[in-house]
Amino acid sequence: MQQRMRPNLSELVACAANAVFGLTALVIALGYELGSVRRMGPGFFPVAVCVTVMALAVATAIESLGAPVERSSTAWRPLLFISLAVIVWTQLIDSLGLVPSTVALIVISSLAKPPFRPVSMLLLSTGICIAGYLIFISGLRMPLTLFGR
Amino acid sequence: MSDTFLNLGLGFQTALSLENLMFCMFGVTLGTFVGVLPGIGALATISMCLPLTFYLDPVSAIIMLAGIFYGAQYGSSTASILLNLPGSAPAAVTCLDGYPMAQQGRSGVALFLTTIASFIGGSFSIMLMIVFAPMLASVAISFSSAEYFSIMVLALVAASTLSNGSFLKGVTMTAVGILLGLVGTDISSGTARFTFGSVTLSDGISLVALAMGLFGISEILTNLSRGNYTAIDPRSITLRSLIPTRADMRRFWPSSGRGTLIGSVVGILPGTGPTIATFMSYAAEKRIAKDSSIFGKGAIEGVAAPESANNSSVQAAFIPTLTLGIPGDAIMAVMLGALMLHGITPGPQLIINQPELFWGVIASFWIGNLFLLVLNIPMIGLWVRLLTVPYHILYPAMLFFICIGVYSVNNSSFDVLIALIFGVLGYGMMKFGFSPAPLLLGFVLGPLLEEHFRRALLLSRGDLTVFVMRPVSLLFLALTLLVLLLSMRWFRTLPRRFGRKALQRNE
Repeated sequence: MQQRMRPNLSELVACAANAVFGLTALVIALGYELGSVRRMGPGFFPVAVCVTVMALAVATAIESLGAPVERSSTAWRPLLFISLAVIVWTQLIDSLGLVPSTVALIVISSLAKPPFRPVSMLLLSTGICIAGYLIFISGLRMPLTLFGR
Repeated sequence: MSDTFLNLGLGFQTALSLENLMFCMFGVTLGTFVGVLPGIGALATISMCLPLTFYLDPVSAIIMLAGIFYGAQYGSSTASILLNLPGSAPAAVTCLDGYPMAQQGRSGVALFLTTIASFIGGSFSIMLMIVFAPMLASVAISFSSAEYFSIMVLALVAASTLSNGSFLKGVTMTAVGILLGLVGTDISSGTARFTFGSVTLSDGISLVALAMGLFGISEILTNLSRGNYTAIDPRSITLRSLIPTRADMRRFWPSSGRGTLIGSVVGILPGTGPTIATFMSYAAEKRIAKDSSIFGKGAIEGVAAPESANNSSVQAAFIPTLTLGIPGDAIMAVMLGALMLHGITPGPQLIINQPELFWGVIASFWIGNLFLLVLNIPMIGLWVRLLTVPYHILYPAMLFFICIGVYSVNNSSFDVLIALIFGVLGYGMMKFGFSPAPLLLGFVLGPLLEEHFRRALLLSRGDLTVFVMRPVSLLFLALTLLVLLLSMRWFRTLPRRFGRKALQRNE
């Protein structure tokens, strides 16, 4: 591993994200009543924390300038399929019920880690649907249906 | 003293009820299960079980959640020893000497000794808790908001400096966590803050969604981006292979004792968790040893001390959480959240107002630790076999339990999406070296911090010196400063530099 002494760009982006987060929150928090030190309004503490977040973001950015660059790859494939699986599940659970949404979740999330294994996926889906039914619908009486609404 | 026995009697009465016994057993078994499996930690599991506890009474809920916590510490050494993969962060140290032991064909001995070490550590801290917690609570009753504010500042700073990685990043995450904790309706004025007009957010961000995202989903993502772990042969662990030699035991006892002591002290301090305890005790063993070159090559001391420290700190961490209402680390923060969701505010009043909760939980620790001995010694082969379950079966199942778990809190798919956002965020944070644990601690403590800050200043009529004028508060702020200074490299090297100068002068 060769260490390169150039500014750690990805880390600076992370610090910038923190700073933007703090700034956005600050702009919103300034809209709340500040009050005085003696009788603080709802805005006082948030403003103080926002300023702290921004100051720390700047400090981390300065610190990261001296740090060596570490290279690591981002797991785009898991990121994509896991996110997709969860989003699809949330869209289906209220309308189609437990079984379709869960099968979709398992099929899509399985794509995150190739190879695709149809048999084990089928068994897993069946097992999880049964467990889910027993624990959450018949056990905890959650207002969910197996199919449709 | 007789009071203590009476109280313990009450505790055992509570803990030995059939229901609580079942939840204790369920908790420690599940804890061992997830502890053994690398890539699913106690925090993720506790967050997953949090929604389930809404259906239980608070005593059973805490008994179960705590069981998962300390059960996982027992289990997590298994993967460290056999696969060189820590089942959870504190067990990382156990890899250093546990895995070499396994390579020398002494994995059985290592597994046996870690269980015994864990039991010693756990038992000692339970006794400490019985004696120390009521004392601490009676002192804490006189604490005002100024003291609470200072203790929380110490907890937050300590947690963010002592966690691994950069101190500044840790503090940044704490501050971000505090800010996220402020989302929702302000208690004193009723103003909705950072809700963007959404009714769902007016109750604040759901703790379950945040915790499951940061620790459940992001853990899956991290594990998927890593490779597979190698298979092992479960038949290699027989009961006979567990038995250590007499020489092993002679080396085992003193290290285990030292680890226990270090762990209990670290556990009681706010803001320091088991991970720090294990690393500290390993470092201490290395320094004490006559021949430090044996470490990393399968030294008994390197397994015994960290494992004892691990469990003693885990049990001791309940002391500040239950008596002050201030959690030491992220897991304790979730535990505190669980109590608050049940309408119980932990604090010095807890022991008096809810004796069956407090003493019941302590009694359940004894029972749980006994269960764990049985689970981990005669049944170790079963857990070893568990390591052969492939991850491609495991992670879709985990994902399902995360989704439905978050959903079940408010029957809201919006919360599940929040969890996903925090999951992706958590994954990104870990990539850039920001650890998510301080964020969670800040999230839970944020609202309390603000409340005590405002109340302290209201009572002092806006006089900011109130935090340094009260001795206990000053003490904690001074400790905070010390922790801050110790975390800076230039400060730690000071004595060495001065020493060198003094040497030069003498020459």
